[in-house]
Amino acid sequence: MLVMVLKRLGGVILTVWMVATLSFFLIRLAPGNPFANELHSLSPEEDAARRREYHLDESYSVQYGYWLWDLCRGDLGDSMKYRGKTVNALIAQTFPTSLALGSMAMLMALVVGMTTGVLAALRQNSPTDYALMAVAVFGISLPSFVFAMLGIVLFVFGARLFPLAGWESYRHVILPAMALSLPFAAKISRLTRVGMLEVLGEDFIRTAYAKGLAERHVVIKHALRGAMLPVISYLGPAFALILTGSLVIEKIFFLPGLGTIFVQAATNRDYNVVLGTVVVFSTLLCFFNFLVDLSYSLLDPRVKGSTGE
Amino acid sequence: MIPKAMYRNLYILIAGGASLLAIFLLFFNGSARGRADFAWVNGTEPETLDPCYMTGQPEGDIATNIFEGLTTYHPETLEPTPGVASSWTQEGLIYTFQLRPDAWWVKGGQILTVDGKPRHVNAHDFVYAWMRQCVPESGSQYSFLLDYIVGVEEFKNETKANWNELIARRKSQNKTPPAKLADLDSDERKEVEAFRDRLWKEKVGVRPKGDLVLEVELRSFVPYFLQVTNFYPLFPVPREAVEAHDKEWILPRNIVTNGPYTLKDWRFNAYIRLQKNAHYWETEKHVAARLQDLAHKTDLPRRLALEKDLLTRLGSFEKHGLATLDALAIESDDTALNLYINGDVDRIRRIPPQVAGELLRAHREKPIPHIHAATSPSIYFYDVNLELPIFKDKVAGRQLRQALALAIDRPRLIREVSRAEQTPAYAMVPPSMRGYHAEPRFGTGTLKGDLQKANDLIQAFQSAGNAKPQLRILYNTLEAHKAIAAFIQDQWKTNIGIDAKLENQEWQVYLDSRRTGKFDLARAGWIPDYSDPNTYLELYTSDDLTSDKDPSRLSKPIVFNQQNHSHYNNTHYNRLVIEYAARVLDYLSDMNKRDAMLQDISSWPDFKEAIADRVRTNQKTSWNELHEAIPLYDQASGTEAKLEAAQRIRLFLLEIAEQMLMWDLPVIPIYHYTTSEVWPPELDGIGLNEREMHPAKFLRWKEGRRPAGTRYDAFPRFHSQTIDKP
Repeated sequence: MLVMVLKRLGGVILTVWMVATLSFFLIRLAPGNPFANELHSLSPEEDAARRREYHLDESYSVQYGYWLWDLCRGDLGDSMKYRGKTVNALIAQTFPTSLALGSMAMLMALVVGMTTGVLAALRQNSPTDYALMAVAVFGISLPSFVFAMLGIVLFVFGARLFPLAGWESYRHVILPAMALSLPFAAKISRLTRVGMLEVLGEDFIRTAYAKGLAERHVVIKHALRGAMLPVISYLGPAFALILTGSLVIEKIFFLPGLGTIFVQAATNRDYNVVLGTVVVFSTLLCFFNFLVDLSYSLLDPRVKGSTGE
Repeated sequence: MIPKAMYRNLYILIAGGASLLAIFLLFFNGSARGRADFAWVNGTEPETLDPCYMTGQPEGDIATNIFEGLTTYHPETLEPTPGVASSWTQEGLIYTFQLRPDAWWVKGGQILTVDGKPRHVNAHDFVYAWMRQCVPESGSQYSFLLDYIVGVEEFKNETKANWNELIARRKSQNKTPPAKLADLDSDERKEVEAFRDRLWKEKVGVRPKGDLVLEVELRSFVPYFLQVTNFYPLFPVPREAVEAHDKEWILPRNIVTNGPYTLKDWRFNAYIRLQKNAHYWETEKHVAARLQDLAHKTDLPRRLALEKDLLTRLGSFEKHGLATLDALAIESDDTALNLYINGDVDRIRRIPPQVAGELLRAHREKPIPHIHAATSPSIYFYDVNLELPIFKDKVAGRQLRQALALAIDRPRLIREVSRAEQTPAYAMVPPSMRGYHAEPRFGTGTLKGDLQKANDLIQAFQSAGNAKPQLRILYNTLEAHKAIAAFIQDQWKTNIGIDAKLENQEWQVYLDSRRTGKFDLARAGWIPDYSDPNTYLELYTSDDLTSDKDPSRLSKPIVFNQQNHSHYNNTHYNRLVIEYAARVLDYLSDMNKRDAMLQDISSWPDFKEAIADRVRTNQKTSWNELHEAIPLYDQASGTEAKLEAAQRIRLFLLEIAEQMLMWDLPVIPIYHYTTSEVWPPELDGIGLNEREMHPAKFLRWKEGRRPAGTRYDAFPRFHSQTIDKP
């Protein structure tokens, strides 16, 4: 078990390093630079001084050396667009917002998705099932900003339940988290239903019913586990997706999250910020997948066996 | 009994949910700062608050409130009003500013003390700030504004040479080249600083006379100089803070400011909270004294009359100024408008394009008191690449460009595509410049009137043996630019049979293509830095001032204005803008120079057709009006009257330059933007102005406080059928 954990962790680090290295060179190969300005430009001497400030006058390999050395010390460098701000400070200010929003959205998605999924599976081919799955198809195919707009019209301008935008109190979180969670809730709902149905058709369930166990017991003890496995394997990528894909929601609801920075930085060619966010996001993605693998091995005996335990 | 293992699945689920909830509670970082007295949507996140490094409106709007220049400006008319300078005088090209002794530097809400003494803003702070703009290691994109001052250009060139020498020397010693002064050894550093101080004292016309008097000598006649002194690049900066904290001096914990507001809190991509500066000089006492002072004077000049009216209307900042301000970093125009309607913000910069057309039309029919709309000084245009063989040809190239410019139905483009009540542009200078005669400079102003001429030009172009070209229109990837380009593509195809391809590029790639001349026609825009035709006409100049007949001409490469991506090079035009208009006093006072100037203008090959014969809507030609204005200058007596007459002549010279430009058309104007700002009618001390920045020190709520509630009913509602489809 320990060997597996270490191996996986090593894999995480290796993947993050490779992604960051690739991004390092790609962003520098893209045309443009962080000091470009549409209306006025700098004289050659001024431009050179600014480049020197960020080591941009060195060769790529030297720049890469500087950057990697700083990274190992936990320093992601200075923003080149936002003068006087370090990438660490930017991430420290914005990442908690994304994390809080993401975890709330994930929680909502899990509660709504699993409840409806289980219900639909138990009432397979009933009107309840059809209605729930129709809603889920909508949820998956409609982009989240449509829900966001709809939510604003209904709950802000209509029912006056929530504030319109901003990141101040808990009440500010609900609407954006809801909008962000819906596509994920829909997906989870479908996964749960399919997983459940598969298990419900198995022999051991029939045996359980035959033994005279109540439906409640059968569902909680046996069927739910079957439903949970596909959901859990989806959770890793889903959480990473929720965190990175919150850009539109952040914009609509005016939330100071990391998603906006991620996109802005690429447009600005703010090299250090691009790489900083890439490192954070890729670490997250890999780490969640690692967690999923880990929990898989705890839940599913077949996986446990394969790791040699 | 149920076996325990049964619940294991449930436990796992609950544990998962609980840990998500825990993550949420642990990381939630809402600001809970409460509503400020005035909140505005400030657009994108400010890049910096250092006046030396800023270039955009979001930065400028904050800087204007936390710093203060020599002058500030009247919120509605942009007339200069006192800032750090309590008064000023002008003698010819020399301005003398009298600084006030109670303009304090403030840190963390307290007056900054240096060696135990409170520190006021002094003349040396301006020298420090302006010099900082002109040296290579901190040079600013806006330092060209200082070039109007005697000696600044020489100073820049010599410091650059000195800097390059230093780099070369360090390289030869195998030391790393410096990025800033702090990278140097202390001896080297002292040497550089001493060199610069000496050079500045010797050459530059910015001279402190003691702590509280600053003398500024201009190189040429710049009627808008007092508009420049209230512009953020010329704000003073506190040397102590900059040197102590380097780049980080602008963070809330380090910053030292001198404006009516202080920087309280700055959260990235969210908001900047500003707080009233309790030590600001505009106290109740000050205003009473000033009003008394002005009351005794009769026949006040316009500027002072405006100041008096403003002070009477608004009262002192100390007593009536708003206590807290929030500048929100919101990029989405839709969110901005929603927040405004919901009563969460009090000013938005522009109405979202999707509803602008409908709202502005409704506003024109029945004014909506929240909307403030006017023709903006900004312009949307296409640059034409004159390095392309097809456009380079003197005659055929111009025929083609003229045909392209004439064959666009601009009113229809605005009605059906851009749809925000813009003004069709048939010139570069917008209609709003005071004293400048603005009118269509090519064509008649309607496609109907111009279509025949466009086709004649194409025919002439073809009969000279040129094949119709296949052109490319370059724009940065954005739906709005694409729609406009597609419309123009269609217009050229149907009206004059010219094919054009659309080519979109990501922002930075597009900037690069424009800079390096990799385009046929490129979408562009210009936001003026000050209110004068010069800011538009300067764009298409180059440093080539020699006569066409001069054999030494073109012996060195031409340096184009940074924005002259078209590479337009007309020596007559260059001389008109850079020489004659800018140094109009020299040329008027010397008879020989004056005659040579007029002779030179009329020797431009297309002079007759483009200038002498071009009768304007007032039935006169600009050439005649120029000739009528010159004797008035000779007759004028007194400095004021002379300067005024010279300014009239200067504007006629610029007008003639614009006619040259619009004859050669290295640029195809499309439309003048519309300003559509939104703020509530309950707000006082704010007005539409061309800078589109509103100093908050003048803001007052008419009732004494911000009206509560939403503004939902103030806006008309649109139903899908009222929105006309293009």
